[in-house]
Amino acid sequence: MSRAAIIGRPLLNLAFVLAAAVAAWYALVSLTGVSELTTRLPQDVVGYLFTEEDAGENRSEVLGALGQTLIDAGIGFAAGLTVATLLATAMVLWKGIEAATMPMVMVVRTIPLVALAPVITLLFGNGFWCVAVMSGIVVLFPALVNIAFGLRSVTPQMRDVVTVYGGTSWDVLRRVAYPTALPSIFAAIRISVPGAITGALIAEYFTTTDSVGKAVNTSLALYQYDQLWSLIVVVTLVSVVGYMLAQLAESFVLARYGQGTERG
Amino acid sequence: MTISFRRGTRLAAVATVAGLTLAACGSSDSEGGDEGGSTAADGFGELSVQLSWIKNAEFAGEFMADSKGYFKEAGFSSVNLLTGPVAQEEIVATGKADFGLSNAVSTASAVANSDFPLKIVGTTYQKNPFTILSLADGGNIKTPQDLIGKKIGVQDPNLSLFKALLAANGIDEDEVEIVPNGFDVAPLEDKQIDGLVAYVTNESLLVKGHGFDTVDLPFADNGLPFVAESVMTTDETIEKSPEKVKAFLEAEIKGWKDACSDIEGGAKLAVDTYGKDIDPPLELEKEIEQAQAQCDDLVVNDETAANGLFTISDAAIADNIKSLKTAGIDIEADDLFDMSLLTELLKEKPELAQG
Repeated sequence: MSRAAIIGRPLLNLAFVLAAAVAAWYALVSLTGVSELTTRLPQDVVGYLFTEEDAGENRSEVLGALGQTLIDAGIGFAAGLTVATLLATAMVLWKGIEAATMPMVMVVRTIPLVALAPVITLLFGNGFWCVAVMSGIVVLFPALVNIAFGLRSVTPQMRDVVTVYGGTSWDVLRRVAYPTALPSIFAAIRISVPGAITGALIAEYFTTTDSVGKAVNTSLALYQYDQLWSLIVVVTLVSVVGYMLAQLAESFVLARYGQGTERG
Repeated sequence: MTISFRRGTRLAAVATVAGLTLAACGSSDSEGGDEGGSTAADGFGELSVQLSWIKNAEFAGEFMADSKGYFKEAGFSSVNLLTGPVAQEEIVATGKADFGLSNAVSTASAVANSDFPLKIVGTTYQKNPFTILSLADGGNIKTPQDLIGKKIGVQDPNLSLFKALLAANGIDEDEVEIVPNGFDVAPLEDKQIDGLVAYVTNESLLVKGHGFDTVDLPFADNGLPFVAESVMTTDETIEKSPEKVKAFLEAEIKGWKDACSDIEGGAKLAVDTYGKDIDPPLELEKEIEQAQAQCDDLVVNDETAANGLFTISDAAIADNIKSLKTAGIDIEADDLFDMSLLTELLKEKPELAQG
């Protein structure tokens, strides 16, 4: 696949997603008949962020909150993916680990995060660890399942080749399993981007820093609907763009490993 | 503050349609009496009031007015008291309730930030009941300076209000640790937090009732005076149905007069009738205490003794506007308060103003 095609396709996807989102936005606002006092249209958000008198101030408020949310999501993303990779590796190396951890992971995953949140804040306070744990939980499960699946998809023949040459199971993992699992790992990364942001937003409800999760709440209380809609727009945009970047990275890496971009 | 073109034209369209409806109503008679410039003789139809909180003694006056039939006497066919807390401004502005009880900061936010067409036409509480509640053997927060270095539980909706309290007293935000908290008093009683944003008439009494020695730092006495449980309605109602507004205020004033002369009666209405489904159940003793405290400290003051309940003096309005400025809300008095109908009502029926 040519380099242009690798970059072009996600860009085309992005344009399509944005167009669809804006169309759905107009349709929802005009069809549901919710009072225009509380709804805003794309041009209102653009006005609030760019053309109004206080646009500069509005922008710095919204982007300041977004910055914190990106940090929070980044923490969750890194925490979730790291734990998922380590756990998946351990599960492939030692069968017992899977039996020991999967039920626990399932339990944590089955309880809605909002219900779990008060317990997490009690255990971890409402700072860095709270964000890392909550956002991490959202990322962990799908990443774990994907990565473990990828690591297991090593064929017996491949494994035999490494063993015949005197390789250990660690060598099988390093030379065969990880490269084989790359498409799965990237799939995990892709779905982890919006997941981490969702987790961060929920965690922020319970923490004190100026962030999107907090600002959405306070702007609602103060009837700052312009700010509210702008926050939702920027966080959605960032989520979509983040997903696209993950897709780009995936295309480049897989092209290098000669695996194409077929999804695992 | 600007009204965008889109909203401006839509409002104009709504006004036009309303005008046509009004004209249509004029030709037939007595039907649909709750729309347009109806008078008490035609009846104002159903009345819906959005309360700001659960149905406890905070609304003793409304319960009195309803149970004694003052709303019906005033020309309303039925009364629907809607439980809060919700976004009262949104409910009223979008026509889901005729009147709403809120406070100056909240209503001013809606008007200033999102051009909600609302006005405050009178108020139950002359002073807002917001306080920093602490325990004498805990945070012991008696002065604003005592806030420094403390852990304060703040509900998200009250975050900007709390920051305004800090600003009004020259305290840097970084010197206080803000912890997100609901209205639950348990974290305060368990000493997880040193102070809690609360109502002097509600949570303070609740914690006291649990046997704690409490300390209050009322916002109203520390640089942030503003009215609360204030009555708001839409500009359209004020313009098209001024008699309806006056009728509502009349019933409210009568109800609150009764509530403040028969404290126990008002509290009992809350516990036994209007708020009997509340879980955990209301405690009569605390509700009586609340009803007493709100009448003594918030509903009645020297100005209401002279001018009548629900009135807001020009000086008080100026104080409100100043507090709002501290809270970061720039608004002109005329864009938030419209006392003309209450003034008219009290001129027509001076007996309402007498204690």
